[in-house]
Amino acid sequence: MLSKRKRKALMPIRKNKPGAGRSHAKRVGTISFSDPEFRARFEKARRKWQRKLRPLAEAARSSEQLTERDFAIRINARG
Amino acid sequence: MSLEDILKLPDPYFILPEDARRQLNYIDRYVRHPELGCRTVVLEEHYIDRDYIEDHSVFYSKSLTNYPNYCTRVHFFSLEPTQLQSEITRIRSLRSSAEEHVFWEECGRLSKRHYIGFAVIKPLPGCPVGRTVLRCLQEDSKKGHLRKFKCACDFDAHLLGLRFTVKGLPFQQQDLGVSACATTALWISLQRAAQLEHAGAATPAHITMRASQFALPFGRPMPSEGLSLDQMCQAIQSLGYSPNLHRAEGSSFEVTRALLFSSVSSGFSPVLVMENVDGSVRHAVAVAGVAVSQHTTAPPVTGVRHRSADLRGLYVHDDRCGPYLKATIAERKGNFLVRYELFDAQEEWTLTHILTPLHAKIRLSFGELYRAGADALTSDVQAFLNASGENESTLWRSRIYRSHVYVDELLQRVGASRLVEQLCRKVRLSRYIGVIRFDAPSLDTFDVLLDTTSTERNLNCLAVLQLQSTNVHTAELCRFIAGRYGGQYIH
Repeated sequence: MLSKRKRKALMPIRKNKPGAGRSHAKRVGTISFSDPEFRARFEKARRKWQRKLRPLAEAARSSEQLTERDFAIRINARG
Repeated sequence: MSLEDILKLPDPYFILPEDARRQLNYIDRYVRHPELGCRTVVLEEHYIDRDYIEDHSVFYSKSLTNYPNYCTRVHFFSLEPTQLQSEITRIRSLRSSAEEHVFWEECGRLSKRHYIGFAVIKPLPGCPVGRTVLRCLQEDSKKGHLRKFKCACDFDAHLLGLRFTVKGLPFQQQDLGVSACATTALWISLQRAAQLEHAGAATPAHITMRASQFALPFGRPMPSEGLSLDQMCQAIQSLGYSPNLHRAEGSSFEVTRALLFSSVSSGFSPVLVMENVDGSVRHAVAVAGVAVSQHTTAPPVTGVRHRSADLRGLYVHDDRCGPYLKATIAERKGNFLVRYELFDAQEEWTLTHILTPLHAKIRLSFGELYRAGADALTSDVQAFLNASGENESTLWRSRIYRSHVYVDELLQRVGASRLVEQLCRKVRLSRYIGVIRFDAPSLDTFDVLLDTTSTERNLNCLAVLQLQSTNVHTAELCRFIAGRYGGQYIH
């Protein structure tokens, strides 16, 4: 069994660099969907992200909406 | 001594020999690459090749010229001839003196270390390169990117009593008799699709005949005048697969890149339909692999990043040149550009369509999988991070896997045995599953599994898997997603 002092010396050093990892993250209240406050924050953020990401989803949809012109193109490169 | 000299091929009459042997010379250069280091070539004469004999049956046998129905197969090894001879003799003697498995293990070991692959040489002076399977280059390019050949698979060749195995994607040259670029690209793509299902692969003759079964918009099917996209889809459908077609022209660069990346990283070889700069020629190539950044450095798109942002290039099989040709990608005015060096000149093509033959049970397309990921799930994950006060980006990727391949991939993770046990006990998996994986610095990696036999309107979530069970917030999010979309939470 290591002494308390030695154990402390072997413990990993907590990094506290500004701008790295989660250091500038702000923990806000409880993180649980059963908490109405968190749930409200989540739903609000979700609507924001859906608005941001919808154009990409729509672009993926439109790329699958094909017309006769798409199917008629001829592929015949030679070499 | 070059491959051309070894084979002593007759010169074609009306075209330049260097034009006819461009692919052969490319293969010669490729096998001499320092990473492969070919030292010995073994010729297997009078080799009956399934693809060529079909071409011969439907086309060449009806010519006035008496074309033989057999080919020569060339095997490439990275051992000196005497060393190779003694290794083959040693392993062959093991069959009678040792246990059976020892013999097969030794065959596998010799293949892994020294077998580079094979090329079938057809008795056609104008287009000699037939079915060719060559080993891919190493994953680490040492140039800041990784080569990922997810479409490569194992092919066996039997020579001198031994079984040699090579991992690659088949290639062949267009002959303009039975096949032009569209047929050849489709043939390559279908070779991979057949391997995924352990099914018999279609030959170029099969593809051209199936493609021209109901429509001949450009005249006679043979000699090949090229195919339309409609005909390519018809051929795929009649060979038992489903054509999954996306238009890249006029679409978003990010979305096209994501769909292409998802398809290749799922192990499906998509056919790229491309247009030259002035729009006068369309060409088709098959994708064998991707080049991705060694480190994820691409800037985030709206705070959420698809893994395809790390895509740096593609490895394509171009039937006018050779296999595993490195192409770079770029964006210009929303167009997806594919550039590569061919015949000492830079070629630039605009990608217009991506055609992927999928198993008929995969009803969920890569586009629909992407939409489910972007529209619903990524919004959930990013909103969760924001509501938790974390200013982080979510990295996500979307793939379609055979369910047992996914389970096998899970088992390769340390400590995943219990997770797999839970998954197999609790969830009924479809033959192919849609997998959306999320990574964020403050969360454990987790996967959302979707049933690919379901459709976009009735999308069925199978499970949400938390790959490490250390983070309580990830558990909260996974439980929420599982509850919201109707899947099992596995941890």
